[in-house]
Amino acid sequence: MILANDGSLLADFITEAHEHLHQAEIRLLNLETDSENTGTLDGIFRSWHSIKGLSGFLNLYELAEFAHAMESRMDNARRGILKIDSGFIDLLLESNDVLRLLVEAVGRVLDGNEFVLPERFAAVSEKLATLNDGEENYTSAFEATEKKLGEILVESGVVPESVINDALEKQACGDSRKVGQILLEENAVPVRTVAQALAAQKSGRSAAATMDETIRVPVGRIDLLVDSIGEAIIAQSMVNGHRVVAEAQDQELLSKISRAGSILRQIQQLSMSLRMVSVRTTFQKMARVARDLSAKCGKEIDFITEGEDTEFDKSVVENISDPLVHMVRNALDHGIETPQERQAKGKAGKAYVKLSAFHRSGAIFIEVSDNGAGLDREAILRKAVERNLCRSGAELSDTEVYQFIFVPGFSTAGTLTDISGRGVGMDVVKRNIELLRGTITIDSRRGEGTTFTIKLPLTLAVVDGMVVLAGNERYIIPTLSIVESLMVASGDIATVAGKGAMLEVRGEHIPVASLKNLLGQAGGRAADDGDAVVMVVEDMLGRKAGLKLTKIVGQQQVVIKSLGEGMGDVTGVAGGAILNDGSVCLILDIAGIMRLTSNKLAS
Amino acid sequence: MARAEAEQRDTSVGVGAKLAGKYLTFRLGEEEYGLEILKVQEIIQMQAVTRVPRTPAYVGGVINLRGKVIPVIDLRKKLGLPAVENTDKTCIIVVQIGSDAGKIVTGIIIDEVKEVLDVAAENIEETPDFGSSINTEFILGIGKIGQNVKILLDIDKVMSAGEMSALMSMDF
Repeated sequence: MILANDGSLLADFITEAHEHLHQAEIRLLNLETDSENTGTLDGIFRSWHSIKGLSGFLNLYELAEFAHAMESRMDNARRGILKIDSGFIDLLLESNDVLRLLVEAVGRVLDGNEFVLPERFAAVSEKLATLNDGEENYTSAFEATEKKLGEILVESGVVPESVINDALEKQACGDSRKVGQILLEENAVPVRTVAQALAAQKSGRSAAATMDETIRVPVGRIDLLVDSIGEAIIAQSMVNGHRVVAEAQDQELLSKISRAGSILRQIQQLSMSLRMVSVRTTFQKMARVARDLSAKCGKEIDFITEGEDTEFDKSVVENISDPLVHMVRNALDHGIETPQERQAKGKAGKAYVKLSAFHRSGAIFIEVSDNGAGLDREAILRKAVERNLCRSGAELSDTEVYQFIFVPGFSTAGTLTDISGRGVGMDVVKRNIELLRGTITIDSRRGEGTTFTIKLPLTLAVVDGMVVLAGNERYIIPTLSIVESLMVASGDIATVAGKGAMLEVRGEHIPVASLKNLLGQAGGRAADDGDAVVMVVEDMLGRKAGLKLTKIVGQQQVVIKSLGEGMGDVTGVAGGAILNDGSVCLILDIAGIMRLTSNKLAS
Repeated sequence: MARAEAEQRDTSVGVGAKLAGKYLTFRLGEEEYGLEILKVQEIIQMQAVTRVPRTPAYVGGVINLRGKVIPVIDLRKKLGLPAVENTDKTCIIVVQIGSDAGKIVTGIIIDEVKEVLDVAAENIEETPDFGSSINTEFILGIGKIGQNVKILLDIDKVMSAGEMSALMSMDF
């Protein structure tokens, strides 16, 4: 049982064990397609061996014993005594899961709970113990290593040293062939031996190559660093904005200040990149989800990933995981058809679910697509009318109809499965994505498939915006949302019955609202308020609105800051930015502003 | 009679013991209040507050605190007291409330900072019961220093409660 141990030792163990288990899982998944890779087999063995050792050291007996059983099976497998087939890999994956549950149980003990064995512990232990030893198939005399070919052969004892020395001498005398080549061509060493040694060397190298030198840093420390650098940049721009500096004529001074600024910005880029991690691990987790699910549903699919090396901020990667799991599940459960259905529809090729990540025009995108049945527009529309979300017979574009699936509790699934269909998922998915200041759009073709596109800002922190004056307060409108700006005379804005104030822009009628009115400024209600600028903005769905302002001040890149948790969510406000003069300027959230505009028109 | 008094004293002592400690006292209008010093992060000069639209009246807005944007509450409005003009003594107390897991930093606008007082257990009394119509759950207790009375605020409750009814001038 868990004895009184140093809490921090246990905490460290838990972190390390999770990493080992994660690595092992990835390698186990790789084994499916490459079951002879000694590097992979050794890697898995090492992971479990480490956990066994650490658990033993910390007196975590159940873990040590369980890990020992797993490591022995893996050892047998890599020595060819046990056959590595799909069933074996399944069992090992399951054991890895149970071991993970055991580690989590230790974690709960740290929180003051009792140690409770996971449910499946007994069953899986039993299965591990009674595995039938298969026939000998692949044995390698060599362990994965980084050494030179000659050394490998000699150290294994398979080849006498003299043979290697002969080959090396030949090389020294100008023979340009590689050692392996020489040995083979002289028939000094059997082919199989050289091949195995080469394989061991290759996997040793690749194993070593993937272990980049890393250093573990608490995330909080990096956050502090990023914050401090942010403050430094603001301090620097306050220096720049100071009257004396702004009016300075001294070129030397100005160039020194400018240099300081660019070094700072460089540091800022570097510090933000510290938090960037690739989506690879998340995608691999999805692979596992897809694999388990496709077996459960009886739908065989190809799980394709693209752009796994695309890097996102750590917090984005962490928060995108759950939404992605949900979407992959939906795709498999509702999108992908059973093999029979596919055949009946005459669909060629294999069903697939594809995850891709890429950067484009200042944002990062993640797409989840499938070549399944596509969304049923009619069914969604019917359900929406049923739930009074829109009038029957309303003319809506495809995009608008698909948006209904994001309504809480909305589901067109006839039957619920324990996987999805309860309708509790997509609204949470959308919310999670919006929390990351991202958007999600849907493209679907009935009978062909569906693609969900998640768009996230490249840097969580920096917003390119236009500073505007509305009444006597300044606001920032993100440039991405701006279509154009125009000067208007009061006669240009017409009040259309039932639709409120409208402006015609090149044949298109756009609803107009006074920004200072929307944002509740005193005296903002007068119809003819003298504001002569209209900025046309657009939301993610392409809907436009015109915002009446007093003046456009200028374009500026600002660091977006949350308004503090004490403030909660304010409709229409995305956050705050600190301007050069130290004051806080609110950054508008156009989606929220649109909502305010339509609420106003509705009232 | 004696026993009732003794009991009364006992509960007072209980409250006092729990609440004894250092408080930052400040003035709002005519009354003085106190905040647990451990929750006070710093005191800063009154500065321009950026208004945030569509927030309750007691939310003054946001300010820039060394590069961090924090919300600022107008404590007078929050406690339902009549508004006054800011003076050069008006300032902002920056407090940290919430659990260790999620400390929230907020500013409170007050009329004048007084001093840090070490309030002993025997000088703290339970909040009198004003009847069910008056909500006093945001008052930790009443501190008596000589002739003066300081209302010790439970700042977590003050912040989390919605618009609160007026704290009428109380005669103790």
